[in-house]
Amino acid sequence: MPSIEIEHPSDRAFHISGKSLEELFREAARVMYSLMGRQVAGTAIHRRISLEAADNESLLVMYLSELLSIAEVENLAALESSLHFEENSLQAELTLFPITHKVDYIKAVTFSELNILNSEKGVETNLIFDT
Amino acid sequence: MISRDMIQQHSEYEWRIPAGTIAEMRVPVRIIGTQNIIKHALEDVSFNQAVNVACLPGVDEAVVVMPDVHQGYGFPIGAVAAMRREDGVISPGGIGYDINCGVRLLASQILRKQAEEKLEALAVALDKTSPSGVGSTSHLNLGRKDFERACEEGIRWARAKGLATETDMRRTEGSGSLAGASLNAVSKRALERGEHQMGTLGAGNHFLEVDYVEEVFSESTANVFGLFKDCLVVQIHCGSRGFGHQICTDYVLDFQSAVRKYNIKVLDRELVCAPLKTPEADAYLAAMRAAANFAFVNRQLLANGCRDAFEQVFAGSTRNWHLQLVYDVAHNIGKMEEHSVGGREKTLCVHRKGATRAFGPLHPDLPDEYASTGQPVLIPGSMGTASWVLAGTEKSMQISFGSACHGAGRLKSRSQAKREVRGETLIRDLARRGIIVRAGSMSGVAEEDPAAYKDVDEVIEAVCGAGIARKVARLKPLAVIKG
Repeated sequence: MPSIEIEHPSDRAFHISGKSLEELFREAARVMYSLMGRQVAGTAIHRRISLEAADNESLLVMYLSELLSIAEVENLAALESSLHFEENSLQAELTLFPITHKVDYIKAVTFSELNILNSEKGVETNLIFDT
Repeated sequence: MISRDMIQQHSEYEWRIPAGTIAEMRVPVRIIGTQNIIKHALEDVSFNQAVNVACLPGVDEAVVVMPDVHQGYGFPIGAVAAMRREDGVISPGGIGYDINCGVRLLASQILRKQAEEKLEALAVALDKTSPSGVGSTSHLNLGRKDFERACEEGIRWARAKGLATETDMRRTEGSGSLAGASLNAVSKRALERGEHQMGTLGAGNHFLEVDYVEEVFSESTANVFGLFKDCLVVQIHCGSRGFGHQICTDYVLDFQSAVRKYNIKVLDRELVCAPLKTPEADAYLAAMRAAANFAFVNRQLLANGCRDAFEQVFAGSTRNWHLQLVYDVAHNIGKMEEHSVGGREKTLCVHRKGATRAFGPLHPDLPDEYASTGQPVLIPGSMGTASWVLAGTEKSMQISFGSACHGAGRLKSRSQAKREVRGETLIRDLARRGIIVRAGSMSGVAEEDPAAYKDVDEVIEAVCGAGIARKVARLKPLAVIKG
């Protein structure tokens, strides 16, 4: 199971894992979009984003926060992504689709309990969204 | 983990986790609560989070935990920490993503029985005049220039535009205009997120509620606040929307490097901070104040929408239908304030995360009309339950940096609440009790199930028992508009 919801008294928390960092980031984005309850339709738009941060945790918060902003401001969701990691940086090729419906609101992606660790299966972390 | 045996009882409603419980603590944690509240708080990591805050540099006297406390991220929700200007820090996570989330209370002299047949029409009118829900945008087309001025000037801008009265401005915390706000410290993303959201309620636990004054506990203070038994009032609960969320996100990311630069050890990455009087702290404070001003204007514009709705429904048929502002108060904010601690006057950066300012009588920051009563303290309950109006006291100045609780406080997770009740069922149950609910999202309604919250009356009992506020009036809901 790539992600499991964890009980959190005020917000929404998940344990997320992936075989690689790329898979972990994709799964985290999938969970976030699923929380929003978003539906998409229409023509795809392609966009490239570059992010730099001191560590993978900051990079994950930055990446998801960027997707969150794009969803809120431009009403677009990245259904597909190609992610390329280098030391302390991420290049993402996003395929964005217009959002036709959103159910729930996410305020932010937090650092709380965020700690990306190597495991037997790949990489894993807890991730908490402020909702 | 903090356990029950680490908590000392000092009085019926005051408890303490002593400094030294863990080696890094610089000050104790003071808890306002009952046995039952302590028991519930030990079921999550609220007290561990408060202890982590007590380890931050320059934290003064005590970290104060309110009876509505529950687990947050970094700081617990329902906490106050004051940092010395000389050697203290500012922590964006200690203020939260929804900067200046707060409550505004408007009072009318419309009797409940006069309004009974018009409540449905009022709820519809309020729903129309108050954009709410995921992705809601403002009815006003402000334009970038006015938006920027609103963020830098707060209610002063609204007053100049004819969108606020002098009384509205005077009865808003800090006159609704925090000095030192600057958009130079705000990212392009934050501006984009906020520009079309000023004047919107948003989603989540934000709401607009029509209540009636069910019981008055201090008639003289209630009269000064303009609250009369059985009369209608309106509560508005919301904050700085995507603008504040993005500002907090930007600075929590930026401050990850600030803690390394200034060699600050934090026990949780959401507690990242920068020493006051550094360029990093100055930039965050300027941005945070812009978000606070946004939120004050946001609630002002929503209040104007409520006034329009009341006019549509009551004008011509009901006397004294006008809505007067009682007060507008923040519960997620960081402010530089003067406090007397241990007989010494200090300038402190007071972080209130899920805590309401509750200044006592004669405080110079209060409007003249509230000098004798103390500040109105607005405590919304959970959906369908009571809310409270309290007044700040001298004791709050002594033991809680002029602060009290901010709500009932969650007991159950949002996902658990959604598993246990359906939004539609809850709305039907509330309707049977005479409460109208209009909501954009049924899952959002389920998350706000009153059973997912503590008993607000017990929270108020602890606050008033500890003496950090006193009871003025209890409100009961009639109609709720939820995002």
